[in-house]
Amino acid sequence: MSFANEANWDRIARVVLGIVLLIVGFGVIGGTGGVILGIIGLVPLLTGLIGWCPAYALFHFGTKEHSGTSA
Amino acid sequence: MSPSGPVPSRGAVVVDVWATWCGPCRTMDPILTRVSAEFAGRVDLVRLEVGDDTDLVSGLGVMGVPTLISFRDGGEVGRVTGGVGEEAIRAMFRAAAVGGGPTPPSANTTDMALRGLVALVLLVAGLSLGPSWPLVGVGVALGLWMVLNLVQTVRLNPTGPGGSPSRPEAPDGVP
Repeated sequence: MSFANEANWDRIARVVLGIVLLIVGFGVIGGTGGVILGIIGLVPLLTGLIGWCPAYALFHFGTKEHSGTSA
Repeated sequence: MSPSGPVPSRGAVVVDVWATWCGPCRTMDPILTRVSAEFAGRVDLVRLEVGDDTDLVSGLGVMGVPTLISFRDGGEVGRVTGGVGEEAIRAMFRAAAVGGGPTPPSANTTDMALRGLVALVLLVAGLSLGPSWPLVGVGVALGLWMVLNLVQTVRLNPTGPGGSPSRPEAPDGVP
């Protein structure tokens, strides 16, 4: 994984949050608000699945113990 | 990939193609130096700056920076493009030292399992709630992503997905 900067617990938390937001947004609420919530949910889902967070990278931060890349 | 320029027909070489404007290249630089020291005498590290060696770089088929290419006896045995961590860099040196090592897979078994699981959850949720086609769509996309990872990993490493690039042959380590 290129430059992974998320620990496993971080990834799982993001994935769970993403799934919940997607299901609530697209599946439960619906409408414009639901679509917005679903799109917001895609962000933690994708960053969790990739294992790399651009916001962490921007601030040279990371939850993963990784030589050379994390704080 | 035919041997060219800095790649001798014998021995083990890792070619690092980098650029001055490339942030990940700078991040990888000290790691490359450290790992290269571990493989001193067994694997040579050749650094190519894209601006200085344009013909050579395009001859190597480099599509972006940073790119690491492992060569063993003049033949390419591994390639990775993009910023990678210490373990992936070490795998590239190991591939050159041992010979025949594949490019490190971009996704390991955990990544693929996670993507597959999420795809399944979203598909089931999408089909049972409505159906909600956006959820189904995201689930299908994640499933395809996992399948692509799987195909790539199996193609690069026939011994099994997510495995170490090491091979059963004993490393002779002599360039």
